[in-house]
Amino acid sequence: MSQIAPKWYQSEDAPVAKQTRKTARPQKLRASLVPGTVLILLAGRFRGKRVVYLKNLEDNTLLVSGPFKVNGVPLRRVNARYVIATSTQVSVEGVDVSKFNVEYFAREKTPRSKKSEADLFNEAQPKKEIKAERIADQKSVDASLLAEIKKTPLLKQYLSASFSLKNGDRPHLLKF
Amino acid sequence: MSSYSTVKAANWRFVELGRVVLVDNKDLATIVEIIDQKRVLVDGPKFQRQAIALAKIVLTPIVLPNLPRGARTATVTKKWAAADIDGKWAATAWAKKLASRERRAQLSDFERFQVLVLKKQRRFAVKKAVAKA
Repeated sequence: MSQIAPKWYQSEDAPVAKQTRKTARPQKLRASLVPGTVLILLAGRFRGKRVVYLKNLEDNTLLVSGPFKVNGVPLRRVNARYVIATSTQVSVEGVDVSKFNVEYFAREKTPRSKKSEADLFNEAQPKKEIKAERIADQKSVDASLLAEIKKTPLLKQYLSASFSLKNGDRPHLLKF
Repeated sequence: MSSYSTVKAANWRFVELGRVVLVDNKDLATIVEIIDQKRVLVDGPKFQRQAIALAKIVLTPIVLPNLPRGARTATVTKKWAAADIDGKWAATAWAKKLASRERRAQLSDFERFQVLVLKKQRRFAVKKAVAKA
């Protein structure tokens, strides 16, 4: 004798979600993505920029740095699929990237201010402040990167130049 | 309204035994036997001995002298080395053009950038010299 039969039944049964048969597995990057590789970003704010790949993060993104002084790309996450890995590599042995993880890049929780009429017509938005920690980290990472970059002639200029397709370029035939 | 024309003797590259041919813009071989109007038997030290259509090959100006008809691969290899066909071929402008085209296709993105910079430097030097003259 289990429970007493309920007095009231739902007219329609609550929907039960199907049990998923997918399992999340650790990301396997293509062989050309090795830390220290120069990548070409294909999409986003920095499309066309050539950038140094530092580390693979847990949310399946790549940690990347311009270096900032060279081309304006900060320490940033980038999707591995929107990137071309070139055959040029920079040694990142001396660069410490252990402190960078997904929480480091988590979005700030701003308290939602009440929308006022003034805001709708107001052009001037308060300037977004960059945390001092980010600036300091950028400087330290880039210092070691720049030391390595300077060893190869023209590499700094290469990183500051943007990639674009020129007349006569056949992307499927270009070697990167 | 008269134009002078000179008659020159014909100087064709013949389909003959020993004619060095280029296959598919990369492999060298010699004609070892002529099968019929359209096909020849070719063989090279680095090319599999085979019958091939004349439409698929290009005659080069180099000839391997005194190649007996139907010569087997070992003979071809020996005579090829003795005549230094590879050296003669590499010295031609044709081979150099093919090599540079291949090198250009293999350039990495960074190498392409380096070429850009070098071309700019050359352009600048030339224009400076021209402006000075």
